[in-house]
Amino acid sequence: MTKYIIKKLLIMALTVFLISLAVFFIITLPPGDFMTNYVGRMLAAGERVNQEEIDALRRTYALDQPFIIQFWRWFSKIIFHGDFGYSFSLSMPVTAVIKAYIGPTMALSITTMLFTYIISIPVGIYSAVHQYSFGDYFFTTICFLGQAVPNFLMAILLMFIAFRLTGDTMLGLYSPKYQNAPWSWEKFLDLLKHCIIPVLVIGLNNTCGLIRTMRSQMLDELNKNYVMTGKAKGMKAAAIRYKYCVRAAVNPIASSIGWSLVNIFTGTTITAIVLNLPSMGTVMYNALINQDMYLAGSWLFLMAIATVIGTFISDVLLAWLDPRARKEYLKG
Amino acid sequence: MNKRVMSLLLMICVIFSVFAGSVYADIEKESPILAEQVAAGTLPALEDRIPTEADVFVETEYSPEETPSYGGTIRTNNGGMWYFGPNAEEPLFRLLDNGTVEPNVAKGYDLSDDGLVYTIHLREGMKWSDGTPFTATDCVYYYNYVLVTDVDNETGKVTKSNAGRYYNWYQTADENGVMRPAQVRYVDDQTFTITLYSPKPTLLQAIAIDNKWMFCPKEWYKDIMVNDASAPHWSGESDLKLIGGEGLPTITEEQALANALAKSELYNFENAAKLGDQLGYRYWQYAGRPTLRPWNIVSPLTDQTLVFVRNPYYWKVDKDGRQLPYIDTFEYVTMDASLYAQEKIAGNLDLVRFDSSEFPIYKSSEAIGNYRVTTDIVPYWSNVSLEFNQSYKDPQYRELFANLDFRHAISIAADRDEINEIIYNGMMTPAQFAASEGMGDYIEGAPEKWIEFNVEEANALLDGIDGISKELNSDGYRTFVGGEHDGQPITIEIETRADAPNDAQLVALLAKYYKAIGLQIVESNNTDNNTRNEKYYAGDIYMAAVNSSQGGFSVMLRPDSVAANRNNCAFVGKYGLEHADALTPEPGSAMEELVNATKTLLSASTLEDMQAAAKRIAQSHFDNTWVIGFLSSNKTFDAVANRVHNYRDGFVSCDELRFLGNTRPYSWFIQD
Repeated sequence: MTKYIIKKLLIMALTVFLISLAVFFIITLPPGDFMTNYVGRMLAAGERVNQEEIDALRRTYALDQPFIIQFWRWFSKIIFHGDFGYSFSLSMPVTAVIKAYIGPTMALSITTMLFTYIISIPVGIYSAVHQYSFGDYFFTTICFLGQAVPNFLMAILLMFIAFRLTGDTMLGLYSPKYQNAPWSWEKFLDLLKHCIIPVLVIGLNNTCGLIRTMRSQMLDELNKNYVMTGKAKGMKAAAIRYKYCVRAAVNPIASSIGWSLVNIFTGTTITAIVLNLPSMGTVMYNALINQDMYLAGSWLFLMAIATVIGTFISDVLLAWLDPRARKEYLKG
Repeated sequence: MNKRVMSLLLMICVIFSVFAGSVYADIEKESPILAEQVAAGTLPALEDRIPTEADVFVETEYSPEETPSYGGTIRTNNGGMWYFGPNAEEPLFRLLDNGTVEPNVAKGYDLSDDGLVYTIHLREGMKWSDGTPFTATDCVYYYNYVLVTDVDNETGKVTKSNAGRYYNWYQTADENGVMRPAQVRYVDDQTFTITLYSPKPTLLQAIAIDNKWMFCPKEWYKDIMVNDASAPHWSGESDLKLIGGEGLPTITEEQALANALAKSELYNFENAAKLGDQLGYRYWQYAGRPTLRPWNIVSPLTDQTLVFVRNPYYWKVDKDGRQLPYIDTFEYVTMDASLYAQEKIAGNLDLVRFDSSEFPIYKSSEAIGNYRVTTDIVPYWSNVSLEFNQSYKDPQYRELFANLDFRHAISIAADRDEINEIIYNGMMTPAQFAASEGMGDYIEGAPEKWIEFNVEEANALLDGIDGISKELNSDGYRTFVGGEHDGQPITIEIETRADAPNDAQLVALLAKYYKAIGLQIVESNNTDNNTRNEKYYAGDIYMAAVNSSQGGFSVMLRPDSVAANRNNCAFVGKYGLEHADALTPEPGSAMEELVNATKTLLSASTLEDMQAAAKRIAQSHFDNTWVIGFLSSNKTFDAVANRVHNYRDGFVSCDELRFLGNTRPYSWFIQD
């Protein structure tokens, strides 16, 4: 197992390096660079910039260097100094930007993730056990609606409903009066109120897939011979269902938990923009638009790390849950 | 009897005066939140915070008629530093709607008879927002150690600026014609001088428009600006007091960065150049930096809502001697632009600016959102226009674009009414690219020139141009006759902007109109504005571009989008004097006249010469229609919450007058 894990870790490191190289390359692909964009915005704002100043700025930020030098300059600082560089557009270290946004992003993503699993696993089991019942059809319909309607459209619809019912669109995480107020019970309630739409929108969209997966896995398991054997031996139906069937059926979901890790960091970008949530996804989006290469690159780098770590966690979880998988790993 | 009557009258007068006095005394002279701090002993009394009675700035013109209460918060969208910055900007002199200036931070000025020495007087008792005195040292230090930190005395070029940029506001020609930066000297705490090499009649306007802050708190800056105290100053002046250098330590780049970081974790910059650019120039984005503004930021830039709170030492009072501003707090909420309307209608924003394309939604929701839509004047020459690059690299196309009949045909072949109805909800007016009536650069008949839709005449004009065919090819297009493109259809690529969704629709309509006169139009779609900017800088690789908000408040004061000076002006292309590979126009050509007029304007030393040069530039546009204007609105709109009072409807909104800042937000007040 140790050999397997070491091998896996080495592959992970190589994967992260290659992904970083690729993302940095992609970021620099669009025409121009941050300085072109920056100068464009300065000119739009009525400022004057001549070519000498632009060239000097390019030299200052090493944008006149070849791609590979720019990449190494950034990547080596991360590896050897833990320094992600500076955000051009925000004029501050990338770590400070991440620090400012990571809290709300993770809080939102984890709440949504918990909501998704708390809803989808029991509903999936219920739908499988009560296949073709009214409840099964009801949940299936809701799920398909959640899946079919784009997140941002669902968000707009819910905001409209909220506006008609309460006179507030529930945008952002707080009402204007609590935005900068110190923490209080009222502010906490206000936060919860504002979390309803994002959690529903992001959660419902993910829930559908998970419910369908759980349902089909459960149906597979319920029809297997060991269930019949258990019943023949006089085991209670609930015991068979929860002790054996659920454990086996939950495997694909467990393997997807790791992949969800990346969502924890990004938040759901478009939904976050529509709902004006202080998510890192929004910052990332703006960084890409502005060609803020170190901020965008660092964020994609973190996403790459989250993805490979997530995959690793999924593998380990699967090995832990499924003796067959564990056996395979030990062999490997 | 008389004595009794007199005594009675006297008594009544005394009682009335006491009563009147007590009423006057009851009017709050400052915000209650500041009065509380004064009462608690944490803030000096009002009279110790503002300039002396003789020097305090009394805002009479914008004072409300009623006596407003203090307090409240204005919430608006965060449109970036150039949105929230100008709302609270305080220059030495402020520009007025008529193009003149009046003292603002400065108390006044004197100009020497030879027009070379401006003596600027400051206000006694004025303080920075942290309570430290604001003196002439802060102005002299800023100029000599932040703005202009090194000069090549042979060429006159500013070779180093801690603020990261130095424009040419203070440069004038010496006796040898070399442009040199001015000398700025300390006289006493309330006086400093600006000495030029030759007269510059619009110096104060230039300060008001371009160098809006000619000062910084020296004591706060001296440890964070790079400085070599052992080196002689570029000005040649050795009396350090006179150039603000007295008491300055030597500061290396590393020390500057470390000292800045020690002040606040918000001042964590990659290098000294960025530090200078951000704190020396764009300082209003950083909490903790003392200012002279009515409100100062207290949030880090990463916050979703940026909060600006009142400056307790603000130096303006209203007509009743009450300290301004009335409103305690400004909040700028960061959100996607698509959310502004819904947040305004939901009542979560007090103020949103928008253009005519959004007029129906805002106007129809006034009652629901409890706000009013106000109209502002925008002094642009055109809101929808088309420019042909006069320096395009292909000689056949360049010759065509330079042909006046061609531009005439292009102008009259477009159906402006239809563009207006289809794209702009009929909110604009058909107009040529020209200053509107009432503006200083207005030429009679210019806005109406060549705007009548007439396809027949347009075709006739094109028929008369040598080098292009009268007949159409099988696809319905005219072709080039002779030259490299002989027999090829005339195909014009028009650049559109990534952030202007109307551009594509406009080009589609233009393609329809110009097909009728045998020209093929293709949209050159730029997926991001970098692509377009890169083309502009290259100067000769784009054919034409659609544009908006071109032209401006005054050709003389800011000629940039109409004259041939910039390096990114679409119609000028490589003829821009600031272009790295600037082209020399053909002798006797119309472009030569525009370039010469631009040169004259930039180097003129009398007001008359400047006005004459500006007039030549405006005339050049009138004669040559360099830019084809389609529509003009001269309007932008604000949705203002009904609880916000003393907001000036119909103000002139432009960069030179600092957009919303021209409404003097410090005089707004909130009354629910």
